[in-house]
Amino acid sequence: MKMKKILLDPVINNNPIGLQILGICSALAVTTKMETALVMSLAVTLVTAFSSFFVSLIRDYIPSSVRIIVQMTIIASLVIVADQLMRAYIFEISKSLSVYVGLIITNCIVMGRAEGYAMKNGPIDSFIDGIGNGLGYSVILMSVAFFRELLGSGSLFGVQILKLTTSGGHYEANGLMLLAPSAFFLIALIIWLIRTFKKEQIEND
Amino acid sequence: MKKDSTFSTILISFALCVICSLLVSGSVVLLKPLQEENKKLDFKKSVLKVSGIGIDGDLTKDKVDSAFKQIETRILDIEAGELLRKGEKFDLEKFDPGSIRRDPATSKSIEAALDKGNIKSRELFLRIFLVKDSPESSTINRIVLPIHGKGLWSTMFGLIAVDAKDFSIKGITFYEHGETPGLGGEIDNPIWQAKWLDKKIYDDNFQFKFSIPKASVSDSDPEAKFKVSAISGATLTSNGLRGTVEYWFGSDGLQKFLKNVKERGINL
Repeated sequence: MKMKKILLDPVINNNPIGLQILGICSALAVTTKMETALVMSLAVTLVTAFSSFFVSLIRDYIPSSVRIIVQMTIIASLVIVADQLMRAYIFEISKSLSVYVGLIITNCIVMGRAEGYAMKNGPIDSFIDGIGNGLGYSVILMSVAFFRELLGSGSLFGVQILKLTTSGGHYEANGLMLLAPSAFFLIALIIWLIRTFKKEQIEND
Repeated sequence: MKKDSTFSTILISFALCVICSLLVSGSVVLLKPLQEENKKLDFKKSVLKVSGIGIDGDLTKDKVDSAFKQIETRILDIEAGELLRKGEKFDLEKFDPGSIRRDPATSKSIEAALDKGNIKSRELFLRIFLVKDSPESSTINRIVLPIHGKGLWSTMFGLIAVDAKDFSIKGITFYEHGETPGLGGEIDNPIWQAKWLDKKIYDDNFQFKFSIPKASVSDSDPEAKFKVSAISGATLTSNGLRGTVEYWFGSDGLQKFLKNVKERGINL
């Protein structure tokens, strides 16, 4: 079914971070905890879906001279609304996400799908494509966050799994996991893993 | 009307701007009351954080309100160095520090030479928090003082808690700032904030002696108790913070009040 393909393709076959190598920046900053990674994933998924939807809705009326700016305006407005909603309803989490919610505007995935898919396809397809790419982004983010939180803090979603030596337990927290470079390494490992099973993703030199 | 004509470009741009503006301003206005509530609760949590009052488990609104029974909120007349009597001049429930700061009737501009925190003007009346030994007691053990000053990108709003007897620093936290995450933003790092514990602001003659030097502070330094080392990579934020502390605990700030407390104690 076509919808299924649009939705599921970006999860493994055409993953925005894994294959298209887009949207890496935020993946570094918000993946120290699974909770923040989840909220970020939801925010990016919804923003991508809705911005693709609206761009697609008016695609026949956008003058080509202001095409990118129009997309930008729609994306920026949606991100601001998302940020305001977070500050009202999930204040604590929005504080830990701080500037990174605003930076969704600069996330290449959102603009990439608006320009690359929504301009040429119908609104419903674009919405599903946005959800699909958001899902692909979320899968990578949650995987990275899983390892960073588990190995860096010994917990998952705030629930302590491995007792840290600092609280009298046996697990010595891996400090590197709490720093940004660890996200780079983990993403690289994930890309390697995906391409081991999906050899068609390997770029020909 | 062709979509690429100048007329339709302007028309569509205009229409899009109007719609997006309505959407954005609508959401801001509608959500503001909820956001203000969140900010107030967050501020109270910050006060509790440096007050030394222990709370078990998650900080719910009820727990925060009940812990606040151990805190006496009072208005300080900075120029006089004296606390206003309860209910005098201001209604505590309606006291909005931001408006007091902006209103020319309740604020004054700071002489450029004295304005180390770069805030240009400051309020004349400050809402401070006196921490009692217990909800029923009338003995104060800590004073929580709000300070603010310019960092690199933003005005940093923080709370410093000082011991009510020897005025050593018992805690510092920032409830609002826009400094660079990972650099100036490290003012939020609990490990760095812990360095402030038990440091002294004034020497035995009540002269301001606290500093934030660039070099790391070694334990063998006899003056170490007056120093907290600055944050690496955050020179300008640290400079701003240094100036902020120098201003607020200096002669144009809270020094007069704290001297009065030293000499006469606090009468609730």
